[in-house]
Order: sequence, then C-alpha cells, then structure tokens
Amino acid sequence: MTIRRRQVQYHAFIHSPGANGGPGQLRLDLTPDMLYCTWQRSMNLGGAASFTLVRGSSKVADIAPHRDHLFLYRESPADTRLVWQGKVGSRNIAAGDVVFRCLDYTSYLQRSRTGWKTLYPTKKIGTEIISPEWALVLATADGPLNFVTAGTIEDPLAVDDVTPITTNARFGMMAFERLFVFFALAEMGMANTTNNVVFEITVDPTTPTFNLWKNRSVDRSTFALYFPGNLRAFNYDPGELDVTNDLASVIKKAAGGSELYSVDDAASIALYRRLQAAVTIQTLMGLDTSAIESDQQKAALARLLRDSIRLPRLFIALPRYGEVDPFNGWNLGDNFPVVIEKAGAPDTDELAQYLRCISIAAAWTPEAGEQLQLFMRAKET
Amino acid sequence: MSAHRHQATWRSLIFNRRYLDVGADPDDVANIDSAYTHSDYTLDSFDPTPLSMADLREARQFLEGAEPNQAFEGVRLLGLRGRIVASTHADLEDKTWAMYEAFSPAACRMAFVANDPPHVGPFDFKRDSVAGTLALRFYARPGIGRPVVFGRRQEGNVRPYVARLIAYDPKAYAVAELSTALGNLAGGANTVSNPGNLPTDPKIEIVLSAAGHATFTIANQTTGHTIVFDLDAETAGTFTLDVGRATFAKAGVNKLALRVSGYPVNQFLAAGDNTIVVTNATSVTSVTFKRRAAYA
Repeated sequence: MTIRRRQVQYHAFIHSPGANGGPGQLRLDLTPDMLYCTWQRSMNLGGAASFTLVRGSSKVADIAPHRDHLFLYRESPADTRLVWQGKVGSRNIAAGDVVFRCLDYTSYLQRSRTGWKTLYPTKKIGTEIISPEWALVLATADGPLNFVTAGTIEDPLAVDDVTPITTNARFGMMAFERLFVFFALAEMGMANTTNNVVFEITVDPTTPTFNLWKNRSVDRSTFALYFPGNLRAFNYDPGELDVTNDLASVIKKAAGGSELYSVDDAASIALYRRLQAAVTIQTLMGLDTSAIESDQQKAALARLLRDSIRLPRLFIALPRYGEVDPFNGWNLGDNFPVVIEKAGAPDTDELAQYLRCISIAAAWTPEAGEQLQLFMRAKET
Repeated sequence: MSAHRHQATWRSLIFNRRYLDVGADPDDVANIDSAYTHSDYTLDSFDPTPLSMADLREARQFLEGAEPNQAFEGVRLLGLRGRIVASTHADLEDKTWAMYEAFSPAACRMAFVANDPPHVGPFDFKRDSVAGTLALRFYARPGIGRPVVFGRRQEGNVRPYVARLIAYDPKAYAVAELSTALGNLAGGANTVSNPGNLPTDPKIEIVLSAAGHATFTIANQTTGHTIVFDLDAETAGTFTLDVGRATFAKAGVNKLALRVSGYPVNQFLAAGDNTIVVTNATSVTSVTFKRRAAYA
C-alpha cells in the first residue's frame, strides 16, 4: 500500500529547451514552492495553465518564457499521469508573488501562419490540406513546434461514412493563423455528420505527436455524473431559446432559378409550438447523397433542422474530489452519462443522457486539494 | 505542555535559565541554578495551539463527501507568558530591551537570512515524556512584533511579559538531526527511523566514487514510493536529494535532469520505521538519510 500525503498530488516540472526547442532535460521541480496551479485543455482549441511562486523563491529567476517547458503530473490513487504539457508563456510579477501563465503546444498554432493565397481546390481535408499544412508547420525555420512528431492524419468522411469530404474548387487561405485554420477545417470535417473530428498534439513526455482523427468519440461509463450524487455543483443551460423547428432557405431549383424551401419537425412543434427561422445554408460539407445541388441543399436544410431542434445542453460539472481522473481511459470528445434530478420534482429526471466532454479545467493547491470542472454539451445525433 | 518546566531558547534569549538544562525535574531544588534565580526570563506558560487559518476540513466534508481527504492545518501561534526577573532595576530595563530586540521583526529578518530553513528561526524547548525529555523546536518568526512587557509602579525587579511567535510550518521538529548511513546498498533492507508522529522530509546524501548505474534506485517500501536516477555518466562526488525543496544537486549544481522516474516530494519518511532498499548502487559508497523527527 502506498502512503500518500494527499489524495491528489500534483508535480510541476520545468524542462529546459532541448532539440528543436522541444522539452529537454528536467531542470526544476516546482512542487513544494508552488502556491497553486491551474490547467485547462479543450478539444480542438488551445489549452492554458498557470502557477504562482512567491517572489522570494530562488526558482523564479530560473524560468524563461517561451523557452522552458512545463509538465504537470497528476498523482492520484488511480494512476499517475502527465495531464498538461506546454511552455511557460509569460510572467506577471508583483511585489508578493509571480504568476506564470503557460500555453500548451496546440496554443502555439496561433503563432504559426499559413501562406498567402495558398489554394486547396477540391482537396480532402485531412491528407490534402491539414497534412501539407502541418508539414509547413514543421518546415518553419526555428518554428515553435518543430519538435512535434507528425502522427496519424485521417480524412473526415461524409454522411455515407465512406466518401472523404472535399473542399470546393475555390478554397484557399490568406495568411491565417493555423489554430483558427485547423479549428475551421475540423468543423468543416464534421459538418452535417455525426462525426467528431478532433485534432490534437498529444501530451507525451518525449514525443508529442500531432494527429487528426476523422471521428473520435466514445460513449464511456468510466464515470457517470449524478446530482444529487457525485457532483458537488453544476450549471446546466438546456438552451431552449436556441430551438427553431421550422426552417426555410432559398435553394436552387433543379430546372434553374431559385425557390424558398422549408422543413419542419412535428414533434418539436407539438412541444414548443411553431418557432420559425430563415437560414442560410453555409456548407454542403459532409453531404454526399445526391449529385444534384438542389437535393444536396434540401438535405443540408434537413440536417440543419436536426441540429436546430436539439437542445445544445451546455453543462458544467464540478465533481466531488477524486470522482474523476482526467484522461484515465478517456479523451476529450468522449461522452459520459449525466443524470440531474429535476428541481422541485424529486425522483424525476431533468437530464439523463450522454453528454460530450469538450473541455476540462482544474485548480490545485496543497492545502485545499483539487477542483475539477468538466465542460460538456449534447453530442451530435 | 510542559515547556515551562525546562529551559527554552529564542535567538539570544534563554528562558527558565534557573533550571539546569539537563531535562531534570525542576521541582527538585537540587536542579536549580541559583546564579539565575534573580536573573532570568521565566517561561511560565507556553501555548502552541494551532490557528487553523486554512483548515477547510469541515467544508470539505460538506462539499466533497463524508470523509476528510487530508489532515492538514494552518499556521501555529506560539504564546509565551512569563516574567522578566532581574537583579537590579537597570538590569530589568536592559533585559526588557533585549527582549524587544529578540522579537523585533527587522532584527529577526536579518538574523535569519542564512538559516536553513531561511527567514525563520528555531524556538527550542523541551517537553516531558515517559521515554525521556524530548528536545523540540518550532521554526518561527515574531508574531506581534514586540513582546508586551508590563512595566509599572512598585514593580520591584520583576516584569510580566506576553510574547508571540508564528510558525507557518506547524510541525514541531526534533532539535537533534538524525543521520543514518544505510548499511546495505546491494538490494537488502535498511531501516531508517522517523521517531516523530508525522511524515518528515529527509535530505538524502549519495556519495559516488566513479560513474554510477543508469538506474540507481532508492525505494521506500514503507511508503511505497521509489525514485530512480541515471548516474551512468556522472563522476565522483556527493549528490543531495532535498525532499523538502524537491532539488537534486551535486555541490550546489542542479542535477535534477538525472531523474529517470519518481517524484522528489514523495520521498518523505513516514512516522516510525521505514524500510529502504537501494539497488543498482554501482560506485555508490554511501547513502545517508539526514532528517529531523516531526511531531504534530
């Protein structure tokens, strides 16, 4: 049996820059000096971390922004895991203490710029756009991510789950930062489908790896969130205001010209009465059911209706201490059972379904332990 | 708390100096040093009650379940009460002002700069115990700035005082540092004791005579924690793993990069006997655990 000082113990390591600016040798262990630390990771977005040292700590002056790497290990009875990895970004120096703000490697895609008028006409999103763009990331002289390994890059698939999604004939880029580009491409890659396209730079002590997954999301029972139960607090916004159940859009007619075309959902109308909206079909990505554009537009509108009648269910969970072990057998993008008792109606469910975990944040102090927050939303159906 | 029955020290001040500092029974007049019966800072009571500024255990039980997850406490206030006993009125005044200096934050700050741990000083005291008198200390700093000394008319040569110290580390430590050189560096069991009742952070000194092993391993089988260092490319010298500060250095040079696995802060010693096993000790001539017993 292991004797532990705390149920959850963090270890904060500072690594010197190594080859290509990647994490090199371990130089400092900040664990006993750190007043607190926070970290956050999000699916398809950048992550951040922070920690504070007292101004008098001899380790303060030995930490270099944009050079040194921060590794946050989380030790719990379940396992010990590197939960966050990135670089020290900046310092906020005050009379009493110094707050260090850190960025994960994915965030550094914001400091990586695409070419000017780089065209990708009729290209697959994974192997023909993101793959060459990632090669350009690595080819950047003295780039901040030169040390990251190129991993698996898959092509997002259309609703038939066979045909790779492609751009149109005029698709290109004009000097965008690549985090925005990759985020937008991932959104395009899952548009009008139930797939969950994920790009990531893995958290790995030796070989952080860039991947693009065409569909990474699993219903898991690794943990289930209950209130009352193992949640000490939560915030739930079902999002009824976002519901529209009667959509109309201008579409092309097969014979030429255009017409107003509408779709509605009887069940939602019966529940909420008719809530109309006029929409613009922004993308035909993911639709491969017909070669005729008008039919594709109709399918796109039908797909929009499925989204617009589904409650977004924005859910923030604050589980009790030790209930959730981050990334122990699960990933961001996975779905977990969430059950909430209806307010004012005991033994009745307000919510009882799988929600997708899209972000996680944590704060830890030696005295008070760890507080986790999971940010969730309804999964695509 | 029986500190009032023994001598105690804070910086230059010696409290209860009239008691022979041998842990003997002060109720026996034979153990009184008559030279100080009229020249002393008596310590009539000593109260080390913790002040739980950061004790969130009740809140945690409410918020996070039925069981407290950790037992921790906040700072410790040390309350000293006694009398200044002097031979003359002038001596009484000198002792009063010496006490002001001893508890002055500015004077303490300068005096403690080079201490280990830094910026605090030891308040050494003794307590009675069936097993024998225990010499203990708190690492503290002045609490209220100056002691309150009650000078008054017709006081004679005696003045009561109230002084206060703050220990941000609430543990009481043994005054004596224990040092244990492991006898078995070939994979056998060694016993390293922590006579206190709380975990303590040792400094582990590893003496290398030449290049060591790539996976030099120290395992505490009592706590279940292990740390591994790569000493393969190192030369002769003394490496110190300071568990309390999570540093690993050789003659002041940072060598934390040699860590292969394990975490420095986990290498604490549990209360009682700890079984330590060292393996792959190529060219390691000694491994020594230096620590002070820690008490709640």
